[in-house]
Amino acid sequence: MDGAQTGAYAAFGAMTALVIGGGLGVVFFRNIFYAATSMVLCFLGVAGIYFSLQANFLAVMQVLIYIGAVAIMIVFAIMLTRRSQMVDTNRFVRSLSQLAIALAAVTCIGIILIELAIFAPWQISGKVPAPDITRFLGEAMMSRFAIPFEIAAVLLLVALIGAVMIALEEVRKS
Amino acid sequence: MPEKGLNAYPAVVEWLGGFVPNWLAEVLYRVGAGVLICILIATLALVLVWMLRKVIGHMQCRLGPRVTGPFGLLQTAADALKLLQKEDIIPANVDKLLFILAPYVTFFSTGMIFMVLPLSPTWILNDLDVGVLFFVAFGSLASFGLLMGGFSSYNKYSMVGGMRSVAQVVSYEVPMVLALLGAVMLAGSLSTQQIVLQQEGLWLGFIPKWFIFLQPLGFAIYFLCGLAETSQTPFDLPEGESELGAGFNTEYSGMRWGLFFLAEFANAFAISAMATTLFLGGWHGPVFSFLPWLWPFVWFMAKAVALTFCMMWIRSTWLRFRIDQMMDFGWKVLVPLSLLNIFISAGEVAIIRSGIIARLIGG
Repeated sequence: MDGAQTGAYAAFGAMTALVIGGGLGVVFFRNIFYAATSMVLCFLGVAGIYFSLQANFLAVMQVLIYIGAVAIMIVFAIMLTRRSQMVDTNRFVRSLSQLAIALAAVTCIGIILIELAIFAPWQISGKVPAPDITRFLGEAMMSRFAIPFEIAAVLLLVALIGAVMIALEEVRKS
Repeated sequence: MPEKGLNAYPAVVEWLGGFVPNWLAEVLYRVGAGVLICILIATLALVLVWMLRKVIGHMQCRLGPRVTGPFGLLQTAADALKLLQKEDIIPANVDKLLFILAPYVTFFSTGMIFMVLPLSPTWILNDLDVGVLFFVAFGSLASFGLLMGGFSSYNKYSMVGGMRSVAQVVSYEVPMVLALLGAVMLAGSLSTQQIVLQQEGLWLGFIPKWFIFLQPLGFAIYFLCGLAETSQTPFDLPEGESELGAGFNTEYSGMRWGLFFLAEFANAFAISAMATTLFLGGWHGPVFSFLPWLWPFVWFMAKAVALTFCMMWIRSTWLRFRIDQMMDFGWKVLVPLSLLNIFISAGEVAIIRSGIIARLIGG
């Protein structure tokens, strides 16, 4: 194992710790703002894994969409419904029955994943990755996958107009 | 002319690899890059804060600092020393962890932006193939720090400040990205260094091939959104003194406040530097025989500082928007205009590719 590989493994390990730690934080923090912040950490870890796999475009999109939009919207919602003290805002944390169910589910999925990892034959593709992945993605979206791309755009437009309509109704009432 | 698209990262790592194992070279490069960015930001802040005071002072018929050192040059250093000596106050009712973390989150995300700025043909810390998107992504992360600061203070003024800041960043990010897209379409690349390289040369022998001449609308939209994104006047609603105390940083003092302040200046400079990269030809400029490797850096800095000067000019002469006016302006004016700009850019790309202009002017 040469130096570069050690570095890659170390980076992967650190990022995985960030993802798992962040994920556990989301579930176990009793203050819901802390939970949201550790979700940001988790997303940063995922972006880091993408970076270490040289999928730069995906990594940047992860930061832009999941942190810049999703996490911030969640935090915004928390702030708009704030109470005077944030302790104990993340309900369900101390519920033993739920913990048991979650543990059972995690064990089942874990067994399946470990089985797969050990016994399934891993195929390594002989194909060469595209040299300029961003250009490749862009061209694919505009040619081969143009229709799914457009449908996603229409879906977002519908959501946008729907949000504006709901907000308008509130304004009219007041 | 140095080799095209050269990137400090592989060259330095290879050079370091001659002395230490490869993995250590990689780690050293990253740590070194971080230290360099911090030094750059600190130096910039020292100079820019002094410049801000002088510029605003003279524009308002005052003199600005002039006692500390020649022309008051040491004023910022003195202020920094004062801030460092101040007692570190954490108010009793704040959420301590978030309160402490918030300035670092903001500073970290600002520092990350500096990684993709092409300071000269060879000086870019990491020439990512998605540099422009990287810049936008970490620009929006900075607002998360402001939100944390505003929230953890448990103070209604701070919270309103934090929420305004995020509402502003989320709204103005849309036209900003759409405006950036114009330059990206013309260059055909998302790498900052490639975009600068595409702006090499002259039209008709005297007009530099900067994208601002093809994209005046895009540049204007980008610059306005940049002002909003970094909460500069006239978009400084998150810390509107007249309404909110000091907004999200009301409860902060000493060096914690200093970090927010530093990040604000670094952000303003980064916005100017990115505008330079995308629209003003980056480090392109006349290179003289004396120290030829230094001139691109000088041109880059000169253009970026000139744009920062424009920001200060606006700051000293304009009033603050009202929050509803700001939202209206963003969504009803800038977004349609930036969509129009995309159509214009597409037309320009089509015309350039068809080669009509080249045939007409023989260039």
